[in-house]
Amino acid sequence: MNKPALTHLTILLITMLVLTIAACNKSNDEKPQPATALLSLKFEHIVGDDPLMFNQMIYTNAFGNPYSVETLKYFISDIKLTSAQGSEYLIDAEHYVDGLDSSTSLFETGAAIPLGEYSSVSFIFGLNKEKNLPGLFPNAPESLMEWPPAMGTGYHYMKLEGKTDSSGVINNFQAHTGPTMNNQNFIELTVPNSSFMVSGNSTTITIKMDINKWWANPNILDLNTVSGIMGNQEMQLKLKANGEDVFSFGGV
Amino acid sequence: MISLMLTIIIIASCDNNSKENPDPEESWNPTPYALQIPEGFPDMIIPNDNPMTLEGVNLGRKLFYDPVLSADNIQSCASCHAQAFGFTDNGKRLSTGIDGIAGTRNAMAVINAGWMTSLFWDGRKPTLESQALEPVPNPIEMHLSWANAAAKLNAHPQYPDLFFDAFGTRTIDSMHVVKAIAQFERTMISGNSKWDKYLRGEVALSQAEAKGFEIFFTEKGDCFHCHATILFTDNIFHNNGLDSDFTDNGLFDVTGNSNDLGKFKTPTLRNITYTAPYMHDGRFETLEDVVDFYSEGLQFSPTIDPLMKKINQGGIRLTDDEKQNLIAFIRTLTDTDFIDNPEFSNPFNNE
Ligand code: HEC
Ligand code: HEC
Repeated sequence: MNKPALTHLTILLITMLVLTIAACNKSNDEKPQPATALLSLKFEHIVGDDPLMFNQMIYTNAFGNPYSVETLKYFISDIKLTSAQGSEYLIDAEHYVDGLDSSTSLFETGAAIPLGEYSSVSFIFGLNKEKNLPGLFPNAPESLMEWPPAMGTGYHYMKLEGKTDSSGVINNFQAHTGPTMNNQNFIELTVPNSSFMVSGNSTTITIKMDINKWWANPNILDLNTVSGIMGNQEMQLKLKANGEDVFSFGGV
Repeated sequence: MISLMLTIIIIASCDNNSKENPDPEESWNPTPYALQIPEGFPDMIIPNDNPMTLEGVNLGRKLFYDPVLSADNIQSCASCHAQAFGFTDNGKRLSTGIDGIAGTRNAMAVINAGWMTSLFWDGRKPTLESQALEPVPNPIEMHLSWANAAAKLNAHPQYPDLFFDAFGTRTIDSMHVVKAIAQFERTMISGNSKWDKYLRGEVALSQAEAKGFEIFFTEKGDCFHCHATILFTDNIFHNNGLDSDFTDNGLFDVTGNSNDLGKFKTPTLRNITYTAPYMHDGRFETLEDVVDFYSEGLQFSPTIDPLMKKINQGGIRLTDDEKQNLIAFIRTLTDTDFIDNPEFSNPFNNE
């Protein structure tokens, strides 16, 4: 093989290689630093100051019931961020959290929000009336939150279940909230003191749910009465009111 | 020459859906199988390495019914999973293998199994393929090693051709067998019961059925939380209060977690009228026995499911009329089209 031919071949090879790499690679060309960041939310579950531990009768609520938690599953939706200037960014999405499945605790919204200062985070606990219709979630695990037609259709907003000990007698409780007889019991809430700065390429906001607060303010609940409540609108309203302050801001 | 080699290597590295290489001498053209998923049912996840084909499904059906997979050629999957009984045992409390040794559990129904994400009463297998690996070598079931099973199939007058049609190879091993069986099982869909027809607006429920529906789907009976969705199972594990202490530890034997003691997979209630006796150990003969249990017979144990209400009153406390209505509703889950479907029947009967 003479020299010019080899050079020719080398050039051909390099060209091919470059073409192939370009064809195989998903584009990773450097763009200028964007003025937005990808938003994620992280959900943490606490009782008082400590992380929630499942299946242990180690908690006591405001009523004085010793209790354990075995199930915690819920939906949040329609996240709204308010900037320091007062602009609102709505993320029209639903997210399912299972306290026993850590893969569900991080919600990568996929939304790119402008960098800068924000004054608050708001969201819906549960699903709004337009969303909460049969067929929204065809597949498990979300589909298992189904709220049967005989009681209003749609999906549970929350299943918080466990056991309570009444002087040695163990009772099950099930705080199941949802659209009882088509009453829209979802909670629109703004997380208190949730101002934060968005910088960099992505931002993760931590939101904490304090289980003890479901049983406390303003309605002190005896867990022995929190059973079979899916058709009990009075109890639904009590839990809805208590739900206003269960979430707190855990920083970015 | 060098450039050609490089091109081939690059192409191979870009191609990520490589297939099992068929015999180069013969052309292999399997026919894709289009599953008919009933309206309102979830998406069925088909493993990437086992796409559904007509040839695969037909082969799987033969293997399901062929006693060639047992040591003494007397038992097939269908011996314990018979169509007339909703693909369960012929009324046996515990199933019995080829050596006459009884197992410890009631044969499960194979109905809508393509949607199950955990198989067996204790969920020890995640897929139909991995599930089907168990019964053949199991000493109290078909009791044939996979090496011997493969040897029998490879020496068989028909199977090598059928495996070629399904998988492009005549060298049969256990993986091809379980893939074919799983493909057949994914077609075993039940979605045309009276209840389905009611949902589609084609029939009305009787008064008793409608009252039973109310009990099932409200917290009065509270069956729907576990026998959930259109599949009538949540595919997860619960202790529904059968015992205060356990002879069979269920899920605990798989996870080793004491919170899982006595938990079993929720069975589907579809075609439940055909699948007696009931529960993991077949302890209840009739649906009446089952409903009496949920009404008055609950036993407390520390892992009892928090959904089991009124454990301290023994259960949901239904009147006799309510029990009858609940059973009338459960009977609407009977799908005779499934039980009589010729595509799920024994293919050797017509040969
Ligand atoms: C001797 C009787 C017997 C034979 C033969 C048998 N099975 Fe089973 N099958 C059972 C029993 C019993 C269970 C439940 C066992 C357990 O949970 O430990 C079961 C469970 C299953 C399940 C799980 C269903 C679910 O919803 O989790 C499937 C699927 C199944 N068998 C398919 C098969 C196939 C395929 C074959 C043939 C390769 C077969 N069985 C052979 C008795 C049998
Ligand atoms: C907490 C979840 C749960 C609830 C609530 C529940 N079940 Fe079950 N069901 C199960 C589990 C788990 C099994 C299997 C238990 C076992 O074999 O150990 C089962 C078994 C059954 C069986 C036997 C199925 C078979 O193939 O052997 C029937 C029938 C049944 N349930 C009907 C009902 C009815 C009717 C209700 C409402 C009154 C109800 N269930 C409520 C979880 C539940």
